[in-house]
Amino acid sequence: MTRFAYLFILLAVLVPWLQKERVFRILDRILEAPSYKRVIKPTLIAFPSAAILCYQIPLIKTHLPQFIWTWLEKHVILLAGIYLLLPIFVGLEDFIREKARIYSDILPPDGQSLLLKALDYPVLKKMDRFLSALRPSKLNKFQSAGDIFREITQPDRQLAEIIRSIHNFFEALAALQNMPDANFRTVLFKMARKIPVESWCCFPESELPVQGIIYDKTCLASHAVKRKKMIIIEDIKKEKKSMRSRVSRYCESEEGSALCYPIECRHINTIPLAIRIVSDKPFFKSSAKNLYEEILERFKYRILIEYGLSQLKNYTREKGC
Amino acid sequence: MKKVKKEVVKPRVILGGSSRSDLKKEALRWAKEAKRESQLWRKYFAMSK
Repeated sequence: MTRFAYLFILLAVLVPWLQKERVFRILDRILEAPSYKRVIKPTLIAFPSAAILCYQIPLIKTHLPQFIWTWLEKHVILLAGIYLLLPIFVGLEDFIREKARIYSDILPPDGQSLLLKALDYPVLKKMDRFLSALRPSKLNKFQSAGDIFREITQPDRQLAEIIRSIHNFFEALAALQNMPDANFRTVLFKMARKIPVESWCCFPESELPVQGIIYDKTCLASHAVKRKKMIIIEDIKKEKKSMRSRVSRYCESEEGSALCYPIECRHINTIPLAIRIVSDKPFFKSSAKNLYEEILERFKYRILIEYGLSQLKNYTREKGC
Repeated sequence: MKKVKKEVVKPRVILGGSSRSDLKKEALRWAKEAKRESQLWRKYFAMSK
């Protein structure tokens, strides 16, 4: 009875402890270790059958020390116990792996291939534009170097292509993480005085953002720009109920999770843009913040180049160059 | 009750061909291709070990 009491106390301590993300990551690391995969696990699985087999073959039985058999005969229940525990153990292993994947802040190999694809996509679009300009039908129309430059550099459009690529990246990543039903909405806001002043582009294009979100000081983009940091909201519904909600009152129908990433330009010391991505499922996790930052930083440089080009084009237009 | 139509904000750029189904289809294709590519990389690394 006392043993059961101890076991109960141990479980009561372990269960809340086990819910911690770090523990799952450590356990997952152990499960992924080569020594576990190649030695410990096969030994554990083979042990009961091997013991019975050795017991039944006299040649092996006589060659092994007697104390092993005496011990086994005394603890035969142990063999039965291991047989019984094996399926439970395998289930537990799957559970740990599943949990660890959710908490993981490392992009899996599939995700890395996906990131390369997402980075390539806008480049391909740009390449199409550059090479299409070489067609004789188009070449003949160009009057000056300025004409060619305007035709091949369309920064506003190129920036939208990058955002579309980011949208696709997260949709595809969700599919790879067994969440193909998750629907995303991505908006790029142009920011001025720490508030969104324009929607640059949005995806899907059939779901436009509500008018109220523009010039809204309380929206997620404003909060992210004020903090100069990425904000992740794991549960939009819960956030809306909180006193210090960072979700705009104009986004009343939204639920799931959200991420907002401010794009800072250190050269002019401003945050001219902010990306807001909403998933209708609990996709975005605070624990994976570093990962999202790593991913979005790759796009940030490309976005800033196009933004810079767009601004320069506007400047030259205004100056009449 | 009369349904109030929400005013939406028109973005600066509209690329076209980016409805939800278009994007979903494209994303699933990307996921499939990424999976295949990462398998190829794994095979390559396994061979070069």
